[in-house]
Amino acid sequence: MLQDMLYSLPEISLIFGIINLVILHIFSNENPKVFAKVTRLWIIVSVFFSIMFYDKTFNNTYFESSSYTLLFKLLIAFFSYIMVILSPSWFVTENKTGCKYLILILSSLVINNLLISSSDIIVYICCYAMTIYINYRLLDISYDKYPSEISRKYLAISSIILLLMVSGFAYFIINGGFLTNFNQIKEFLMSSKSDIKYYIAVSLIIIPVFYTLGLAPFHSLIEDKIGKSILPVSHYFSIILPITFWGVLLKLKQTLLLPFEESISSVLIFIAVFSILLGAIGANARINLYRIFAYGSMYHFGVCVLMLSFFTHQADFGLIIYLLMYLLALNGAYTVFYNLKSRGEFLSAITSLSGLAKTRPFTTRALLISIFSIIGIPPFAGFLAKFYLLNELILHKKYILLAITLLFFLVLAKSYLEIIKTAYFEQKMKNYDTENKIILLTTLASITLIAIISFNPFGIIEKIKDMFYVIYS
Amino acid sequence: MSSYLLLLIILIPLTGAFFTLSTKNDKNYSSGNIYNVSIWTMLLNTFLILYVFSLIDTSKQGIDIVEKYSWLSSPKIDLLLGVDVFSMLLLLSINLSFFIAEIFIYRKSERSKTLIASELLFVSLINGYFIAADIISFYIFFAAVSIPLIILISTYANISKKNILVRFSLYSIIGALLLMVATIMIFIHKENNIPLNMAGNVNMVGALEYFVWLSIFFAFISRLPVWPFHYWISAISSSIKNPLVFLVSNLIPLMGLYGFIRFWPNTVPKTIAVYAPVFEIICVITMIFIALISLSNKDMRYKLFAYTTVYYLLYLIGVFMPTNTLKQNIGYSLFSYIIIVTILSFIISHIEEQKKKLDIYSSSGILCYMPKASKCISLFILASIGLPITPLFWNNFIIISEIFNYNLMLGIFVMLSIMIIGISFLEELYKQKDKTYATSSLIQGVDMPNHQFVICLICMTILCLSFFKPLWFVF
Repeated sequence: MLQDMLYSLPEISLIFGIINLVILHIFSNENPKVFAKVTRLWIIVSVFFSIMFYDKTFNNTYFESSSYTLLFKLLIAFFSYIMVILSPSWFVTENKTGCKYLILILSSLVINNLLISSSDIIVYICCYAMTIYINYRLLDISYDKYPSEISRKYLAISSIILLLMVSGFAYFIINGGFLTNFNQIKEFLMSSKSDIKYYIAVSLIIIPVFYTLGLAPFHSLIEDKIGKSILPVSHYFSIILPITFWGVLLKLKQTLLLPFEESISSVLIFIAVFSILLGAIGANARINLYRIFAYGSMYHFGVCVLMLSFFTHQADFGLIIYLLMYLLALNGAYTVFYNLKSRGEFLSAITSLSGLAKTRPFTTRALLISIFSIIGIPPFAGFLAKFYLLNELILHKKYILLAITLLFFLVLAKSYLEIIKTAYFEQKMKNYDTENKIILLTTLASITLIAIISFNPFGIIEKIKDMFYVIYS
Repeated sequence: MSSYLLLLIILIPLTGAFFTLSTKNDKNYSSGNIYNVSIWTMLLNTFLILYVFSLIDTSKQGIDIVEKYSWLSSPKIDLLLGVDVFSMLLLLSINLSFFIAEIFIYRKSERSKTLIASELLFVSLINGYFIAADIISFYIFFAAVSIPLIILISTYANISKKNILVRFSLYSIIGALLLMVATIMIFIHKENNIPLNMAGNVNMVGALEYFVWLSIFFAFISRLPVWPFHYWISAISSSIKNPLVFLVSNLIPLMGLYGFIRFWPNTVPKTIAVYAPVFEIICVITMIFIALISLSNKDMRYKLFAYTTVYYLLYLIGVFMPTNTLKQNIGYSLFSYIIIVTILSFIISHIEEQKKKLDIYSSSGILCYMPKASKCISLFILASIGLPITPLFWNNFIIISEIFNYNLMLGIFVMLSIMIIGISFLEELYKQKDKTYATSSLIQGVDMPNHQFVICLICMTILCLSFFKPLWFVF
């Protein structure tokens, strides 16, 4: 019992963090910076315990921990930490009090950790349901009206998706027996892999992951989720949620999808190409920065699905590197967004960047570096991502897919270049507020990371590989 | 220590760029600090290059000094840096040009943080491009040079031509993507990162071979102002008024040219090399076309751009000649050519600045008020079009002779375009020196400063000495 308690310390410390925030709130401390400091502290404590007990879990029946789960937990914690550093700026500027956002972030960290570690389908469904609820509450932080239209829509659609997931699971139980452990299910599916009914059941279980990642044709609401929510929430939907669900998807791929490798590969390619097309075209049709990046993510996640469809260890590792490098670059862009303010209002329209280079050269350069990285210009992080992608596509002789990916990459790049053009060439339209020094430092740290990571400092790529490859053992 | 020398040639300007960026935005001291960092950086790097030059066996063919750095273990990739006489000549001329440029901008307003940091970053990356000795590091530097270019062009190009930036960036990205695809294809085919001079020995067959070499071809063409890809570079060069940025933009075609020099002469498979004559025809048409436009254009800067284009294409045709002997001549010629273009660019900028100050619309007779500038521009224009006092004369003579030897018609057209560009230059020089256009009132204080004049004379001396002994500076 004591041992189990010990192994659950990563999650318990996050729960303590929530309790700590509530106590602070009760004692009427309404300073967002204090809330953020407390949250950061508990994230660090949780990371410490996660590293300490990286291969231990409080319940071996429903969860399994390994260096693979640790890799994703660390990534989630790292990006969450940055988000928590930046978020007080938004709340202070908007003069909003309370710690609802941070409580939800800590709750999501608990759920995400459990989701990543889950080895049981029931736990997976429960955690997914919790994620929907947390996302719904996060979307509600609009301070305009309650509940907001987008959050209601999200709840309705996500409930249907959850129902599909449950029905898939139910269908599976009815036809295959009460197998809930992923590995047991994998073994069962291996013995009856050609059966179409299981194929459908597995699809119903997997679709919610695609929906959460915003992959076409399950991309409903992803644009609004990122585009209409407040900046810290948009940041969460763009970075934290995708990391978690890519971690989950890779695990599910190894268990639920692997038995259907041949038949599901073409479906994955369809999803990938559809996402690539829609992402690239959609980004060019938008004028809101968050929406442009939301469609950009759709393109990049489509590329990740393409690599997933190859069903090789090397391609999966390429996917991880691609994802990590892309999210680092995207995070760099988001740190810049926190400094885009005019008269206390956060700016999100592309036109609001007009003349930014003249008055805010550092912010513009940081945005430029993030965009260059997303585009894949060496020596920035995105180059490594592009290198792994092209390596996989050429290695598998997928020349048509290569042509599609690169062609629509150029279409997508045009939308990013329009941002640069507006920042440098358009006449100044707004007077920007003074830049926050903490955000500037965070931005500097983010772009430094973007600039140096492709040099493989301390053999970080190999370390990620070692942690990742545990999933195949 | 010697094992890090080549890396240092890349890192010194990069460090300078970081120092520049870290300076405080203090109006009184910032500009001076930035300037000091940049000039010392360039001086140090120039001396380092001279030192490395002294370590090379100049009589030896191929890469001499080699440095190896491990990068990734999965897939296993080691990056190679290496230099030969040809790349050292380019490195020296570029670093010397930027050092000269720094002296020219002394006490000028063109010393902002962005400009100097981007310039140093550009120097660092282009040094890397000339030092790269394997296909992957070659690609990395080829694509990375776009970063300072886009920043400089975004900041200093004419504001009325907003779409140029997007087009330029897209062209750069397309070029970089094509080279990346080709590089990875070669990498996968050979299951290793191969040295640059081995790229032609990959023995690919069929469509793959065509695709790889066409990708490489178009990647390099994307950096050259050859029809039909000429628009962006001419649009950009004509819209840049800052001489330092003009110098940077004028070095973009050098990247394409260098790419062809490294890949084309000995290594390209014969199946692809047979298409070279088609490309030569396109080059010669572009040369004549640009030379004729230059003749009708009154803008001296455009004439300089046209001159650089015509000469780059001359070297490119030289690269496509079925002989291995021209590479060294192109190297020596480029050494002089880059320095001459740098000096001319800054003198032209000085004249334009004075015109603006004096509120004069026409340049006619303007050199009458600036005797020192007049002497310098005359000397360098004459040197640029073939005055036998620089290595440009001898080496261009050999290159053109070889073109005549290869194809008489091609030689005639190349010669014709060089003549037109020479006439265009001399016509403008005559106009600017013509006393009949000068006003009777004496205008003073518009001549170039003494330090710039001295630098021009030193440069001419360097070029003259190179005329007699090309590598006199190597001990």
